[in-house]
Amino acid sequence: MKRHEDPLFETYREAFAQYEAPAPAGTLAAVHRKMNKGGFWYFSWTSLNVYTLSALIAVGLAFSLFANEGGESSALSFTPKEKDLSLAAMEKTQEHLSLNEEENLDDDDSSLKIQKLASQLNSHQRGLVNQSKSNASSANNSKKNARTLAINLAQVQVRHEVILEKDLQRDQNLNFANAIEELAASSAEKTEVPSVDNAQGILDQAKTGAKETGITLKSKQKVK
Amino acid sequence: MYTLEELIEGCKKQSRKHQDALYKKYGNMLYGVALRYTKNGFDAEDVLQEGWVKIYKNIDSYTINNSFEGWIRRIMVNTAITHYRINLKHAYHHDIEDVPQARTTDAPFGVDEYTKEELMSTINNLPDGYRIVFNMYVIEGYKHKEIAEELNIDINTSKSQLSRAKKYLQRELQKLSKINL
Repeated sequence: MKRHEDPLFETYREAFAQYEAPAPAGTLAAVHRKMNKGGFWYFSWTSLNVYTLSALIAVGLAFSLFANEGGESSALSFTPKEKDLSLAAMEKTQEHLSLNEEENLDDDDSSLKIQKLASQLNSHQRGLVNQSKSNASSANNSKKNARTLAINLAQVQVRHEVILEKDLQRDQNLNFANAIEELAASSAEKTEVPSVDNAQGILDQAKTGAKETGITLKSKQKVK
Repeated sequence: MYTLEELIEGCKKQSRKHQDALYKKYGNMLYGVALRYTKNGFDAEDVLQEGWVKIYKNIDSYTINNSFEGWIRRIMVNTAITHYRINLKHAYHHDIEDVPQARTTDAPFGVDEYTKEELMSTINNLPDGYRIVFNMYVIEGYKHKEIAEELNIDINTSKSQLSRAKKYLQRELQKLSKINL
């Protein structure tokens, strides 16, 4: 069915082809507001919401506090003293900043140093490990040496003791021989005519006693 | 009084006076269009404002060879369609089955039988989809293919919605006839 043949459609078309209705008041103003949306004045006046107002108030309060800190003088009007003070403060901050930079540089150097030291420590540790290995082998050797030395020492001590015993025995024999010799001499002196045979007999006894102890007496003076 | 050409040229230069004069000339007609595509006056006013903003901003693209009234009417219809699409997800959707089938007769209708306000109220009471298709097809003269492309629906959907809109309106008009009698 074509649209112009339908009576219902014709009714509506005739009624609304040129239909007009009075537009609500304020529409044009709203249209212009929408047109200006995004412009500077729209932003400044229509978007002045709570947040922007609170931000402005906060800025104002901060400014007033800053102005009161300076006493009677305004925050914006600098007297020469204030200027000097502010310059000094600026210089101080500059110095502080430069020091901080130097510290930062020092920090960099120290970090390099630490790295170097760490590498050195590592190499040292490696050396110690190697040394300990070699020390272990040398310790084994020294143990062996010590053992042999101890054995040698023991042997030497034994020999020394033997020698000491021999020396002691010899001294005792010598003392004994001297005593006999003195006894023989005194007995010969006591007799008016010394009997050569008797003295000789005593001397022979002393020689045999000395021989038994391993000491040969060659002469009377030598024994003394 | 400005001629249409002067109004268009003035609006192209963003002249406030020319813009106001253009609104005065076509404002009521375009509000009538907006009322047909919406449920109530509030939605119609929104569509009207958006449509006028588009007209003022895009008036440079208008070529003098075409009908200016047709151009601004088309902008308003497209704005109404956009408004319908935006509000589609919030709207209550009537399925075709949900709309009660009207028992209608092919009795003739006369313009004089009903007032324009009565006819407008029947259009406003249509489900959104039916109203859009009915207005585009019957009043603006779109074809089903064009409606399908504009609303991104199937041609058969456009046809069925028009058919159901017609039956719905017949029933409503019959009710009005009984009341008038």
